[in-house]
Amino acid sequence: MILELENLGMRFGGVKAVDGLSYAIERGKVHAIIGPNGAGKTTLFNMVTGIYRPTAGRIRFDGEDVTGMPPEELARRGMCRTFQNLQIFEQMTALENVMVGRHLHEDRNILDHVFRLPRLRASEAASRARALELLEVVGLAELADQPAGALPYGAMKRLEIARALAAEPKLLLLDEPAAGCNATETREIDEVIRGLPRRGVTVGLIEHDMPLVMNLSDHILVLDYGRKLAEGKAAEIRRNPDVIAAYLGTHGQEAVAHA
Amino acid sequence: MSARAAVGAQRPSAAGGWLGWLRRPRTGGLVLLGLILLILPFLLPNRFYVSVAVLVGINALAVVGLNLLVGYAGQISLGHAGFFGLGAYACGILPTHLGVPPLLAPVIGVVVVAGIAFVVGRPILRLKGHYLAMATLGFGLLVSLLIGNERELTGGPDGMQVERLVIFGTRLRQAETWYWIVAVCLFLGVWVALNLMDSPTGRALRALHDSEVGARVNGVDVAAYKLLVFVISAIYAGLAGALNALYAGLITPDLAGFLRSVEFVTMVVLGGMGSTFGSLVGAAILTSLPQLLTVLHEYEQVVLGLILMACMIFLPKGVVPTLAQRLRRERRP
Amino acid sequence: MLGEFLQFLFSGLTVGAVYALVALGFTLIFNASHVVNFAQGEFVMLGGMTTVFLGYAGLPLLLAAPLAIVITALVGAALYKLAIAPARGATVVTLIIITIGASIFLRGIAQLVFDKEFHRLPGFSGDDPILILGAALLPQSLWVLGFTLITVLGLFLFFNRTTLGKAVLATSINRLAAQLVGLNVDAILLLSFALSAAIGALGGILITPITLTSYDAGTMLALKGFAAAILGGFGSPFGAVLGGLIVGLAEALTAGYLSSAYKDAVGFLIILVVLFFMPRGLMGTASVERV
Repeated sequence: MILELENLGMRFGGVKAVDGLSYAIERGKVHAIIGPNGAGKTTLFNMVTGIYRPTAGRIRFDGEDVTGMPPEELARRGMCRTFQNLQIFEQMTALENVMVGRHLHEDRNILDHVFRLPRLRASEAASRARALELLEVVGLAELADQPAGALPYGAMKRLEIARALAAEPKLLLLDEPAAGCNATETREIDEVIRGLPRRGVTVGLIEHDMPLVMNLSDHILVLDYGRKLAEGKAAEIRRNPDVIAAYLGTHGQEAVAHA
Repeated sequence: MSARAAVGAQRPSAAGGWLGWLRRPRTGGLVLLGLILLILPFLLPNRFYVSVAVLVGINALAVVGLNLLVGYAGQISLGHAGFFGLGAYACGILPTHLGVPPLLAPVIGVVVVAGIAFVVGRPILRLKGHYLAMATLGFGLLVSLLIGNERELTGGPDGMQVERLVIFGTRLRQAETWYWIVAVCLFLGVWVALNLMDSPTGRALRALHDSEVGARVNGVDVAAYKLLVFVISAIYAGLAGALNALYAGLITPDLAGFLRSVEFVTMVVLGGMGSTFGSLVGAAILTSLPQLLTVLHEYEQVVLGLILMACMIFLPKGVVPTLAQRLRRERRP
Repeated sequence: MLGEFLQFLFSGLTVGAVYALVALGFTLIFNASHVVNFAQGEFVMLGGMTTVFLGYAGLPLLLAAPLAIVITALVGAALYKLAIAPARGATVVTLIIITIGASIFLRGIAQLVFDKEFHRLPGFSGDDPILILGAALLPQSLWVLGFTLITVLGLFLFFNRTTLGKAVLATSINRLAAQLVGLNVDAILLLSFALSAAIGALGGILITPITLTSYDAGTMLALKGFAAAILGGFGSPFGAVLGGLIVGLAEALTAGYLSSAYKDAVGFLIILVVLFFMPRGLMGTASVERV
């Protein structure tokens, strides 16, 4: 198991956003986290990626207890994420955005930078090449020199994924990667995500798009009111009456039946 | 000159060979700067203009550093003249009161400034926005308060004399001599700044400007980088202050004052936040105008205030990046 | 001993009341527009200086003071209309620089219109100190404290009992919602700036008989008023008053018992201490950054 959550809890004042959650993500698989709005999914992500400090429970990444570690520490250990609300570097070009993703693998010695030593030039060339490769993977190669803030929404979402991949993570957590995307964009993102386990990247994703989730995931966790409602393979979750009742409702039932 | 332009110009489609290398905004700009610095003294009619040029150079050095902090990294410092003043007074105090050789004083001064920036920066940079602005404002005021009050050490509000540098038997006093010293320092300062910004460090700073959390999840140690750029910009300011002290021979507490801090910020804003060459332009305009048109002296604060407001409302990118953008747009068919 | 202490207490509370007024101005504008107005100190300076010079022009205090307040309120409104409103949607750093620019601009204008000297006003009811338990209490101090109290109560009633005041509060809580229910947000912001300037001007007029004033008095006042505002908890009016009094007292006691040269540093130190150890201040509310 690459990620283990043990009895995780998060309180904001009197509100328990997440309560007593235990779950594990298997290496090399695609795991999805679903649930109604306000179920605590993004809070969970924020806890795992070090943005919130859990008020209860432990998180183990690759066997190591990483509870409460800040995001940059977790990135160093191979965990990366994208954001529901996008945290793109809008003033930088798409290429530069992805290069920032590569930060941990670049030459970070400031003296090299100040004097522009050969070691830096090599690192820059390698970074640029790798960033272009990743932009190809997500289909943004032609937009490499555009300021990221000027890109269409779907492109920005894919850019964030490319940036996260540049860090060469072991575990990639995607927060609603298809939100706000049209059918074509969603399909493109679907393809990108599918290719990830082959590249050795384990994926955890929060999504509302049921067809995407059902077709893509190896395992699903369902949250409701901050608690685990159910977990299992896609086929089981579809049929689980509690899940359907709590979350999918009648419309959802039809969507699931047609997915 | 934004690093973005530099990256863009390094695509394979740019013209090859020497001409291509020169066409790159970064190297082209440096070459142009070097040429200007070399030719300028021969174009200036008399010593007064040379002394104005020296002052421009000194301010430009401080502002290039401040721009790294404010323009690229998106932080704010309303007390940067504090570092400028500390560098200046180090050159005054160390030889006069501690018997340090005048040649060593600026070096020690810059090291001390860096140290103070490191100690002060760590806690202060955890703040953001208004809080950071106020904290840096307070720092600057505290420094000028200290300088103004400690009479035995600093001569108080009337200032103190600074022992001149003596190299090979000659006392370095003349504007012409100092022009070359300042020009070399400025050129190197610009070169270092450009190199830094066109590197992983520069990208990390620009990234944390746009989204701190986005930078952190990619492994950028945001707190460390903020501190780094704060210390670097303090070093630039401290060095500029030291040069000022050694050149002028006399220093007063207003070198560290609030007005001077605002002047520096205005130069950054006018020239273009995030543009190193823009900082040079901003410094050149705002230093030389009051010197050349002494009637403006009374209006200095009014003009500064107007420039700050007008720039931020109408020309938020500043002079140089706006011009650069216009030129780029005209070049495309 | 007691006399000395009481002396510092009186002067501390007096100057603290002015800091409270500055802090109230900060709070008012921040609550309405989420802008920290660095030019707040200049309003205080303008109140005092304008009154002084109107006096030189022949106007009696009873006319000069209210006129100065009105003029300063207009300046505040102009600041909003000409510098803040056009920069709608700007980043925090941009707004900071704009208000700094405004602050410097106003200082520059004051320097030109007035002069660079220190100026004084006569105390409202004379300058002969009243002796209490061995301490000299200036009658002006009572005016300062009295007017500050009236202002605070007035603001409280305004925000809680009048429709307009509640409209201002609504705008500060959720601007979009306020617009959607038909509130003229622009006018409300204009009012907030004008009111804030008026409060600052009042403080300036009250304190000038005691501490004198000059064209550059604004910066320090802004710093100390900010210290008071964050000590009390940014956004809380009662916090602003509490903070102001504490800062004033701390300053006076430092000046009296430690060192008068560094009393101005007290405000700066308070800012640092509050920001590092209790960023919410004494009465403020917490906020969590949502990602």
